[in-house]
Amino acid sequence: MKTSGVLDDTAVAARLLDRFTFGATQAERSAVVGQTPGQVMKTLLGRTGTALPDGVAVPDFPAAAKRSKDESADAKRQRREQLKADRATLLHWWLSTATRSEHQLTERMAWFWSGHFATGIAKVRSAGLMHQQFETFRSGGTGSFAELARKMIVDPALLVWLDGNDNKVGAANENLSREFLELFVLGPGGYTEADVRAGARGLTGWTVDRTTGKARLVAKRHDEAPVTFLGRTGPLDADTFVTQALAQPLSPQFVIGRIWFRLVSATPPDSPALLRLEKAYGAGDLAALLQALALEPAFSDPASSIVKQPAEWLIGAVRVCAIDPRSLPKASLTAVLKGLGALGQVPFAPPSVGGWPSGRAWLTAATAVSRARLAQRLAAVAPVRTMLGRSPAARVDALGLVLGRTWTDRTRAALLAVADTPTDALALALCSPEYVVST
Amino acid sequence: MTVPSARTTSLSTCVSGLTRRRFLQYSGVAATGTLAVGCTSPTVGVADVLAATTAAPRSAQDGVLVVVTLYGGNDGLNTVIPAGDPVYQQARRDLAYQPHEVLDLGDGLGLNPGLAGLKGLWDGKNLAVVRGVGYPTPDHSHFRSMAIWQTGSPTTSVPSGWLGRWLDHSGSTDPLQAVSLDPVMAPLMAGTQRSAASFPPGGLQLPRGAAGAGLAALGDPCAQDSSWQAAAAQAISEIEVISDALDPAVAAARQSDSDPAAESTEQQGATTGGRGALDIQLGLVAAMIEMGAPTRAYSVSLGGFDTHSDERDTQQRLLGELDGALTAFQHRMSAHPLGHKVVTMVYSEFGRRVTANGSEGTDHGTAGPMFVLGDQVLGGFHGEEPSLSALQQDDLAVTTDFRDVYGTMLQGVLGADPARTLDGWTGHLDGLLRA
Repeated sequence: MKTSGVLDDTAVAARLLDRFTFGATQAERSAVVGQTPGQVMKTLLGRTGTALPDGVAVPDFPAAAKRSKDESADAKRQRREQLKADRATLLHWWLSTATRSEHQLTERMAWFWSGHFATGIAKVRSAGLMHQQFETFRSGGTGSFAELARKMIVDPALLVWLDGNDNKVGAANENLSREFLELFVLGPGGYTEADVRAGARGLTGWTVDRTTGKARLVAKRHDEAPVTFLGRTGPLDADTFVTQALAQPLSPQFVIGRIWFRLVSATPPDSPALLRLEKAYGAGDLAALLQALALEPAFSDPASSIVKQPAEWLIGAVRVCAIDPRSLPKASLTAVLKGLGALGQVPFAPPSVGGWPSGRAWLTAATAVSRARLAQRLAAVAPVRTMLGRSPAARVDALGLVLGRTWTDRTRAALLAVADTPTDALALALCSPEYVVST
Repeated sequence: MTVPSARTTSLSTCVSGLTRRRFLQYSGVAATGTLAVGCTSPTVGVADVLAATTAAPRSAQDGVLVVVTLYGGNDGLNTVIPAGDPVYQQARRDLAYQPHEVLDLGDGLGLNPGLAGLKGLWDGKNLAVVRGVGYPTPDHSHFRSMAIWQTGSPTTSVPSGWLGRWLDHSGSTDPLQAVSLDPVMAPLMAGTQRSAASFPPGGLQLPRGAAGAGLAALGDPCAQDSSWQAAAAQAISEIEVISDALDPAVAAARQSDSDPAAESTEQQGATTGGRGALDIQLGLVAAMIEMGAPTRAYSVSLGGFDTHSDERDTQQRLLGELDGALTAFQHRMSAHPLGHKVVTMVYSEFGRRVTANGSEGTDHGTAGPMFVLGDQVLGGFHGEEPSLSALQQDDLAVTTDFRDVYGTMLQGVLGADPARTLDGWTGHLDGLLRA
């Protein structure tokens, strides 16, 4: 809604839930009424954890068989079929976990980091490695960024994705070094071409064993020679690569900026805000950073709205519809995952190492149609559709409460026109400009 | 669906031109005559646009530019190949093509064996190879380099794409003036005031019945919207315009598609971007052009060219996909009266390092060749081939500025002033297009 001035604490609290969880239910929103933004974030941070929700099991992926050069066509087909099945298992697991978890901040930040260290399953070709990486985001996503970066630079999925696996002494492959500096820890302008090439030599030797799913440093593949990397000369390894990169003055503001862009606003923080946040972040304290973010004036500025990414929209919709993904019939589940594909956002398969698009890219006529189809699917199985009241007007009001939205006159009119059929009204509400945007 | 008549007035308070028409059509309340005028959209009515589209299809004399983006950094040196050059053979080792493998173009260069169809167009003098294309101070980042190519601004970051700025200045209000068939709209098509219509190759259909009418109603502008909400509403309002105008083209493209079940191939490169089979995208462009769509610029794409490892097979397969799609498209254009002024331009964000890496692949490089094809194109080589013995920090030197190619397209195909779109740039390539 276009409003002037600043949002009150209740509105800020609701907004924080919109950004730092996957969309709150009506009960969850009621629970934070009267809380200050700092209290809301404190509660969310106090409720982090990696325990899986009831009824969601750790997914089990068969270890990859050794591939031989002269693999038969049959074996190839079988491997492809297996990967396809594994991908569906992984997505189903994620959908259930993100939707049902009580540790919403954990899941929300794990999702953020999976877009930050964007890794694609099509090249990694192992749901097991992708899941293992995601568990690192779940366990470390609100901890220390330095620790997370240290784990990522030798993460098996990331090593395969960015050819770190092929990077060896005498034949360096620059891909991992370059993308790590540019997209993950430092940002453009914080390093030179020479740093990229030196960094690549420091990362040589890390090798992934697909049968165990582990990466290890193979000494004879590692380049021991001293290099000059970001102003430091000496032998370089993965640990010193991360230490040196994170010690650069541009690193904190880069990391803060990426989090801000996805969770606060497309308008970058001004310099006083950046100073406050850098102070909280210190040497990479993500929890302190999140706590400080919640207190930022930007959160009470009505203009700080962002466009929900399709997967965020989906999980939020599943939550407010009270759908339990664990009990979804297989056909509905397949349709939901296909719907995400049509929207252009299948988790674990970002378009590039640069991560997901943002903003207007998700607001095209094409995504609007795909979203409408998916919303109809969800509404048809949503338990909440039977609890919306008897009269059309009451249903429209109830939808506002369930989705946590104040309808514009336009949307209210559109919803009233179909409110005879609660399923249609619910589907339409999920597609409304008010709901596809995090206000 | 039934609408309670007591609510009809409040229903209309925010309903504008098109959607009101649509809404009435579905709801059957048009005859009651109880609708208030309400707030109307300041933008041109969609009905007007549709009328203009059918009343004024593109003239066969108006040029059309089709931009093909290859995401990931296509290896130019293994696309237009100096196979006979010993420096090339030594640098590329296992990755090198032998002289007898390439399709000879003369000048010591040959096409990748995956490009047999393009060789046919070369022989017919309809394929130009622009050599050594790049920009000053090459950047090895996919994202920065692609941003430079797509914004047309090598020195400063600008938020608009080069064809988006052309669209801003074109004076046309037709939402179909530019069309992106990319899965997500390519940034090159986004202007500051206007953007291309984004249209997935599978077509665009409002859901049937009440749900569809309801969705259309959500597309109405409303003064209470925040700016993102307004953008969301606008996108919804465009569904109908786009689908009404283009769905016949989708049907036609499906019909002429010999392999309708073609699935997008498994991607090898980490930096893909373009997804969705290129032949389907270009088949749709061909169908739209043949039907007289008013569109002057199209964007399509193919991804997967980031070949840091196991490059040879991957690249040859991708080039084969490009070749099949481009050749079929060009043959359709040459055979159709509305296709003679269509020019297709193919580029990637950079070429690759001259020396292969240790993984039977190549790292990010600089200059690369561009393909330009069409009946209006003067086939042959344009621009100097970068020397393999005068590398700049292990990379090929840039011999042709990419803005020269853009400028030539803007002026020669779109009839626009290049300087206006390219921040004053006036360079162009003589003899690339027929006068």
